[in-house]
Amino acid sequence: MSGRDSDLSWKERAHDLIRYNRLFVVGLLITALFLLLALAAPILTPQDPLEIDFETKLEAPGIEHWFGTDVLGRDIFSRVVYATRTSLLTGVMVVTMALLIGLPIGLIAGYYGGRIDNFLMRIADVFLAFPPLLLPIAITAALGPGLYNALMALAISWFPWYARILRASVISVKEELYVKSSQAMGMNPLRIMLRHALPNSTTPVIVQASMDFGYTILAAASLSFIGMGARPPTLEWGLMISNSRAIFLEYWWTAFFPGAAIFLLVLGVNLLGDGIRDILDPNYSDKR
Amino acid sequence: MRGLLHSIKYIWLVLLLVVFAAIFLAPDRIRNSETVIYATYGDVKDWDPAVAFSLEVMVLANIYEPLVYYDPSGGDEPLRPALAEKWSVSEDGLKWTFHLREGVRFHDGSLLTAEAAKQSLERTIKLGKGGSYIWSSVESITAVDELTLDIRTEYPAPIDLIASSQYAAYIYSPEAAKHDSNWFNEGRAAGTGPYRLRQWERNQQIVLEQNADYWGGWQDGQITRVIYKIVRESATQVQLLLAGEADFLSLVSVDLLDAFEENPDIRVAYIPSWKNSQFLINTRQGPTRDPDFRRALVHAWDYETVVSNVYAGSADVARGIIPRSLWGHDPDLPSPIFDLDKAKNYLELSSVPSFERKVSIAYIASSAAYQSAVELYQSNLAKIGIEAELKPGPWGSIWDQAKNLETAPNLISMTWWPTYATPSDWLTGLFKTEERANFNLSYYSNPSYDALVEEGVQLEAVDRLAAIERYHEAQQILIEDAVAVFYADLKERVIHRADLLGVDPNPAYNAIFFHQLRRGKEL
Amino acid sequence: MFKTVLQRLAMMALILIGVMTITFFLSRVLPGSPVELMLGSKPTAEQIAQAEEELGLNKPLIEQYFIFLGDAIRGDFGTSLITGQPVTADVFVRATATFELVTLALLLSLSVGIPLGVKAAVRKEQWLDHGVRMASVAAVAIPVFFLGLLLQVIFAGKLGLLPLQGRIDSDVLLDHFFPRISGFYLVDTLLAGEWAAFASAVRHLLLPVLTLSLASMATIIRVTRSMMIEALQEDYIRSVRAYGVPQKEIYYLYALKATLIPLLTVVGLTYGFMLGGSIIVEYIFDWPGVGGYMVEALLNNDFTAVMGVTFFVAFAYLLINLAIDLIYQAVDPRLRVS
Repeated sequence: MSGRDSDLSWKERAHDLIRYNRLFVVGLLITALFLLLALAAPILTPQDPLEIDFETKLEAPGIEHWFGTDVLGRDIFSRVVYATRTSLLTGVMVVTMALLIGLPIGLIAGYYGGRIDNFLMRIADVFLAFPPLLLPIAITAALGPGLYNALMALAISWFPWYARILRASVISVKEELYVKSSQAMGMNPLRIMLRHALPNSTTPVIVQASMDFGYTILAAASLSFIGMGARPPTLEWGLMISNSRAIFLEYWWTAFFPGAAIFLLVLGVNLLGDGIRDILDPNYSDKR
Repeated sequence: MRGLLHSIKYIWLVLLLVVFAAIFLAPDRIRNSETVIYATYGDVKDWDPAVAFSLEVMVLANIYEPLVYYDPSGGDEPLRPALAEKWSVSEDGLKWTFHLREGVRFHDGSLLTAEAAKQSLERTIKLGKGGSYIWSSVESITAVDELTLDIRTEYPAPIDLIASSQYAAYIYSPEAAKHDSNWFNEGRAAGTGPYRLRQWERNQQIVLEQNADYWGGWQDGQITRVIYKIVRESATQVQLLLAGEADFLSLVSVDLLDAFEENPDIRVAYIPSWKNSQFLINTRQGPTRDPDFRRALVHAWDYETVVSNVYAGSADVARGIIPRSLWGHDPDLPSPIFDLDKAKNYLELSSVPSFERKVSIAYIASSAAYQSAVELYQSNLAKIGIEAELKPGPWGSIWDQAKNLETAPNLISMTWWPTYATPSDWLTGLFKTEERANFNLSYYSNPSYDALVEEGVQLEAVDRLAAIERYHEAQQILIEDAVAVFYADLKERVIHRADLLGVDPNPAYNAIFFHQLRRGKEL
Repeated sequence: MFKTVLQRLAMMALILIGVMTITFFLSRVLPGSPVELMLGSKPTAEQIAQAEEELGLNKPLIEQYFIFLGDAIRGDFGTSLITGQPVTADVFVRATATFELVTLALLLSLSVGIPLGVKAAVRKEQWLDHGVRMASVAAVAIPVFFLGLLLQVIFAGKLGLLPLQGRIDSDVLLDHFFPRISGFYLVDTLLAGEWAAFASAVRHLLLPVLTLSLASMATIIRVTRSMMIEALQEDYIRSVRAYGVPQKEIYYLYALKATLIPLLTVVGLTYGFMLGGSIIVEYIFDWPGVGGYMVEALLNNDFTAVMGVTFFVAFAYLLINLAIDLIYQAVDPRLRVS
């Protein structure tokens, strides 16, 4: 990549990126494809994904059923396509909820500093003291297994990252002259923060969010896989794989296609995330 | 450092060699035909036979023996000898005498005597844990001589049936009886059964080895070693079974059964069990207080469809509350009828106005069978104008709610089996008046019913036919009062490698008796 | 230095109390009553009352909390309701299984990841570099559970080369005794000289370790590569090169040194990541580790076990991070000031 120069505007960097970083383009295309699948699922699928038909159970992939059928004779292609909605939704919801929890905390901690800051950040530390996945599993167990509880649990264990980012940027902004002057002019502290600190932190937050998106999709699928996330009849890739575990050996298509779908989507959003990071935050990028 | 850098290639080479050697030079594991591997989802928690009240009985049943075994063959005498060869009861039903088998040795070498049996039973009763309450009628236990054991009771009680229980009735060595549960829970056992405990590797496996001195004797070709392998996931268990690395598995969901259907190496057997399922109807709260409303509920359940479609061969329609597999079952009781017109008539008879025709149904969420059956029920109820609110949950929480009248649902799922071979277990446990609800989640209270059941229990000791008559009457009251939807007698599903012959479980024991098995081709 | 360590330890204790508080209240809202777990299938009302008394469940929640905290400080985490064993004993046995898995996975990630990262950096923009980068991007996107399943199907199912699940073969465990000194089967079997048991342990470790290490391997490759590229442009490397030091030594002895600090951070993160990932891997391969213990305890509302195991896992995680930070400071004196 040639555009490592920070003097370039982000538009120029984006232009460079698309031109020189084919992986970013690939990521964009994959993500767009899945978005299309999710939106147009009813048009694209040949069959109702929930329709049970014992006549056609466990058929191998063919013209009739592109991805074969499962134990209950349901069309796996239709199921995989519909499940795209669930996975995209998990990514969006977890990141959004984590932002909604994390941003105010970071804002308050950074702006007021001192004891409040200390207190809030220690709480964040406590949440970070759980190894990844462990806290979501515990919270899901307490709330009761289910897709929305799993998403809530992931968001709760994820918010400290955003709180930290925002806090850091608030602290750096706070020292700047214009903030001090608006403070001196007696402006409402909340307004100061919203006007100056929040926009200032957009870049790192977007970078972080775009990198987290793929991870949350994987984590949500893992929770469903071990029976703590989505439940039937919700269509979810991890759940589909979990249900086909025992027969995977003889009927490979029952788990292969959902697995491939997760892989592709996560690959796509990760590449996209890398690209977004390169555009917004050139200093961070891998040395290419 | 430099040296290391240059030798790194060789280190890699050695490591790879080790890995390849481990993979390819591994001795071909020759499966000994006299070893059986049982894939189980859970480990043993209580090794103490006085305390064990859960799935560990599947292991204990092969290590320990009771005084008598329940005999499911359906003859007049429901029991057959185990450690006791003969037994009798005094005319007043208050004194039981057991004549023990001679020359039986415990795994620790000590001899089975009446004194040993006494110590073992007394310890079990004194601990008061697990199922030990089955002995609550006992007044005293005495060793009359070397091999004669007397048990006296405060009121007539069927001590012979009680002694056949899989909970709290196993006889263990006097040496072991001196210790507390911790001694057992370090992985010790001392019974008289065909297998001794050889190894307990927590979370990994339990190994039983042939007890060469077993009084029942040994013949060539019998199973000499049993490995219980702990495999938590149903899917992994299935893979092990299909690969021949396990002979039995402990749990499987219905939709996986297809994987076995056409496989000649796997046998799926359905064996009548003592379990049956019902929905208890709350008789003290809400619209279900009205008996006619309850009768309407009973007629709105589609019995045939649930048994044939939802349970797919692993259940029969219940007739009364005592299952077919237990003595005292009553074939003369009427079959329940699914008839929406009848249900509607009862509904009209009831005093419940149409806007109050709503019921809540609680059931165990993890059970696919409950789920499907309840959804079917919900649609049938809707047809007669009753709205059903479904409340699935884990047993612990729905039970907690049901025990409190304030939060109790109108209907709750219940699968019941007796602690020992007595029909009274259902009649007492589920419907006898309880001061504080424990399992009588119908909140049913009827003095004349209670009296009948009490009479029956005492008659069990001396005159079982008379007891059955009382139970018949009591069941008729329950059916008349529509206290529950009695819908299914369940069958145990046993899945195993087809070359194991002689798999014939006894509904009284949640275990496979490995001493009965051998390998071979079915003729 | 000593003072920083003390400060950090004090902070760690505070965080751990926070962790215990969260876990305590989480475990008390788990659905269902824990006593049925203890009592088996059909407890009488008296038995239930007695068990609630024994567990102290009839006391107010706040009182229970302080009793628990007091016991925990004394190292008493109670008895697991499922296994009937002291939680500390359970966790110790289980933890060694998990640490064997995680440590080996980390070693594998490092020993494959670093050389590949270095090679990719040295041959920047050549086919090897592109290949390695593609592979590492892909490796991060594969769900751990799907990878484990694929490996099971290929190596255990189709090829029949490796075992499907467990830590060691049943018959080997029965016939070859080895004392549990470290709890790592690889070490203990070697110490006992039980070759068959060692081989069996190796075969059982291969698939889980591979499954667990792939994603971290990719991260390590990426970090090594980018740090290496930076280091290779430094002046001192140029001068070393001018002295005619062999290429290999330049890369591994001089340039790599500069990448150690960022690598350490990655190692710390990876350890935590793997502790999380091991839950899934243990689930798939029936590995008798802490992850499975935790999931089972949560699902069965075994609250004593839940709290014990969370404490130990969080403790281990914090300890590793602390150790990494301290090494960090020792290696890089600049950080000491701040």
